[in-house]
Amino acid sequence: MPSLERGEPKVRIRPMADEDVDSVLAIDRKITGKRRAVTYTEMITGDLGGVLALSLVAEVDGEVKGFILARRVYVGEPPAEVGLIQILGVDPGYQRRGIASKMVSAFLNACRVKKLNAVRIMINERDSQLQGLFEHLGFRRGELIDYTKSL
Amino acid sequence: MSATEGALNLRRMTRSDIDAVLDIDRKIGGGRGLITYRDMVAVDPGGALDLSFVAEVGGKVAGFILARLTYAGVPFVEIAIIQAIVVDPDSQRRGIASRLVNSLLGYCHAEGINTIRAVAEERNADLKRFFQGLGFRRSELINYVKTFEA
Repeated sequence: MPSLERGEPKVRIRPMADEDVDSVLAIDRKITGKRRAVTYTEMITGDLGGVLALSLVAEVDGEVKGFILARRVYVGEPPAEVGLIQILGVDPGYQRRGIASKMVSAFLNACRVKKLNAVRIMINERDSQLQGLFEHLGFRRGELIDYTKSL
Repeated sequence: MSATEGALNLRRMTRSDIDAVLDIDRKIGGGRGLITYRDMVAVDPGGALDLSFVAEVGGKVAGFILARLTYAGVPFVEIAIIQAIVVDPDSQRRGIASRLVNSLLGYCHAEGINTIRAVAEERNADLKRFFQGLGFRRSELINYVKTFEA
C-alpha cells in the first residue's frame, strides 16, 4: 500500500456494479476473518442485485477498498421514502483514512439528487466509533426503535 | 356468509396477489396508495428473497405482510426484515396481523432464518405493544437519521 504510507490515498467513489461482488465479499471476509455462507450467486441474483441503484464502492488506486450497500425504503408514520444504509464496510488495512466519510458524503449527495427525504442507518449502541462518525456527518439520533426476535 | 366473515387462510404471497395488495393499500390511504406497482415488482412476491404472506378471508385477500430476506451489518448476518403489515379496515381487530407475523415466524424457523427485525416509531405505543406481545424485544441497534431540507 505505498500510496497510503505516503499520505492521502487517491479515493474514487462510484456506483456499485455487478462486477464488484467479489471485492465486496473479499472485504467482508477480511473483516470477519472467515468465509461466510453468502455466495457469489446469491449476491448477484439476490439482495445486492436489488440494491445497486443506491450502493457505492470506494476505490483506492483502482481497487475496491470500501462499500456501502443501501436501498430505498419507506419508514415512519406517515411513511417517508428514505435511503437506508444496510452495510458500510472498509477494508481493515484502509480504515481511519476518511474512506467511510467520503462514501457517506457521496451517498448523501446521491440521495439528495434522487429527492429522497432522508438517510437512515442502524448502529449498535455500543459502537461509539461509528456513532461518532455519523454524528460528525450531521446525523442525529432518530425516533425509530428496532425490534428483534431471535428464534 | 360475507367475505369479511369467512374462514381465514394464510399463505405465501405470489405475483398474482399484487393487484389485491395495491387495492388494500389504496383503501387505507383513502384512494391514494403508498405502494406502487413498481414497488411490488421490486418485492418480487414468491421470489428467492421474498418472505411475504397474505391473509385471505372468505377467499379474498384481506391483509398482507411484506418481508424479505436480507443481509445486514458487518459481518453480514442473514435476517428477515418486516417492511409492512397491512390489514383491510373491514377485517381489522380479528387478530389477522398477529397471524401474519406468526406465519412469517414459522416459515423463518423452518428455513433456519434465526433473526426477524422490524422498526416502530418511538411514539407508536400500539405498534410497540403489538411487537412486544409477539415476543419481539428492543434490540441494541439505534437509529441515526439525516433529513434533507425541503
